[in-house]
Amino acid sequence: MTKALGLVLLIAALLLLPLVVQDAYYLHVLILIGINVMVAVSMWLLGVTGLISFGQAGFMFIGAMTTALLTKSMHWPFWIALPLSAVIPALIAAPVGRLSLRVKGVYFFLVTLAFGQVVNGIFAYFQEPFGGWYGIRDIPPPQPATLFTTLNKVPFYYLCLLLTLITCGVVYRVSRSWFGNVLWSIRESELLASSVGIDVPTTKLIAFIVAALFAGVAGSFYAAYFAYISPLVFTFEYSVNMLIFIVVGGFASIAGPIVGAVALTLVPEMFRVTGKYQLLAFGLIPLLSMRLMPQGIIGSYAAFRARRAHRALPRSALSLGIDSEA
Amino acid sequence: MTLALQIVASGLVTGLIYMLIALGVTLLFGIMRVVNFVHGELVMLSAFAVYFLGSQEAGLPFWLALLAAIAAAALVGVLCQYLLFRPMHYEILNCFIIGIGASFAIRSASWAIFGPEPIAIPATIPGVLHVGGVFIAKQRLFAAGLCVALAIALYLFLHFTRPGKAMRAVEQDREAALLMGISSEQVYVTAFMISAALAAVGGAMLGSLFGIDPEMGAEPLLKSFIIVQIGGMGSIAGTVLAGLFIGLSDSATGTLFGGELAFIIDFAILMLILIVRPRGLFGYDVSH
Repeated sequence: MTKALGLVLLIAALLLLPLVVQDAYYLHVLILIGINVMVAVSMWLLGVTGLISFGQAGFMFIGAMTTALLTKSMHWPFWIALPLSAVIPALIAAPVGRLSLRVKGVYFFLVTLAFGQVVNGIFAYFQEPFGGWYGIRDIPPPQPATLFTTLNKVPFYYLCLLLTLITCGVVYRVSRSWFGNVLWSIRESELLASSVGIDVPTTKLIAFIVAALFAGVAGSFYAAYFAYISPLVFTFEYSVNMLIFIVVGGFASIAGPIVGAVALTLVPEMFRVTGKYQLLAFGLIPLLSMRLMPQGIIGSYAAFRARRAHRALPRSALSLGIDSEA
Repeated sequence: MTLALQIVASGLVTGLIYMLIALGVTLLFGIMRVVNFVHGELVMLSAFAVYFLGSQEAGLPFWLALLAAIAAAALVGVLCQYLLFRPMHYEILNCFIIGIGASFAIRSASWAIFGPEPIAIPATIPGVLHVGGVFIAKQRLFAAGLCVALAIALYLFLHFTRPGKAMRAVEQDREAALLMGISSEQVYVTAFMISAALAAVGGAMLGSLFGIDPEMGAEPLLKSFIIVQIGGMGSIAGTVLAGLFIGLSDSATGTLFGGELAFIIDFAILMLILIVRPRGLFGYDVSH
């Protein structure tokens, strides 16, 4: 009960936030956090099975490109482009997932990694219609244009909040449903799961497609908000950042990617003053985090709570960390 | 005809260098099931080491500079093992992530130290060879020869020396090897040193042909992932074949359609292999 109350309070606080935070820069950072939360949460859903898709930035790029082309070249309204930008990455994810899920563990990382690079490469190679390395500029904002102006970030904030809440809500429901239990069971033992009649390949494929769908939503919003997309944004490094959010936050529940994305989106902003050492900090954070908090922030927090409560839980009972077979 | 020969000649040289770098990746994977993401940074760091040791201030001859770079890379490789992979218990996903973190950190530190400007290295062996209408820089021939020699040396080492045989024993069955009195930790250290040394030579050769910059490690690493996957993780023969194949296909697409497309073609080949044979040409069964 207190958990639900806390959630309601949190959402209320997020809804009222623009009344307090007027500064455009802070709203911009909040919107960035929202985008990152969407992608990290979608990546986490598949990560539950022990598979990390390094192609998330690729799917995000496809979504962003769909929105950019539909709204700019074909003058469609954003509200039609948005669902299409979710559906098209999902449609592409179906055959890609079918193929790449044939392999496991590290092979899967490498295949999806290569997929992301190829999406990036194709968009960068073809000047027409994808804009090549220059990307696409002047993507129209959502309708009505009088509300979504470049100077007023509040409508964008609410749109981002809405999409983020939908993403988190759906992924949370899925992860707690029967389907989610199946995903966890695949992580524990794939062989056992298939032996009790679970269709392991299809389950993984559905998770892969859902992850691509929400990455597409995030990409679509990205395109509409920044009005500019380019191959330099949706790189392999972007996917890695998402993974770092999950690792630092913790794999055990959906709170992990959210906490990680919120905490670490702020880090580059904080280290902005250090200039060229910004990336160094970003490389060292996962390194130290994995050495010091193998279960992530939420894992350490859970352990801390357990110790406080004097519950003599053995450490092994808390180890919900990441592990996967080769 | 001449164009085809030219494509083959330059493709074989790049293919051989990529093969050498990929051999380091596949060696570690075969033995301890670890994908070393820092490998690309070892390539980059060794290229810089060779450059700075061979420059006017240090003034070492190329061979000495290369040897020093190999030693330094081997040291860094072992350091990575002790600081990164062993604390992670060689668990594949954790090693992957921590390797990426370390790789980012090293790369951005190099950006800060070396600067973003690419540096061209003057050829140690200048001159161009002209054989049957095909032009090959002597530097490239030298690089190709060195790569072939090292690949053969690696084969001989793995098959005819005690540490090499121990390595293969650990690869085949760790527990059984342990029962025979082979310390797997010791084997891991040797493997990391050899893998790093291969990366160092690959880096020096890449640097001497294409110039050096802090980003130079990223592409060979991605290529070697593709090569290793086509050839089959852990398979030396597969890596050699796939390396040459990728080198040739890159050279052909690069010459005919431009270098940007080469990566897309590589990926198409990889996808094709995955459809037909998910474990790669000579790989282990990957369903476990």
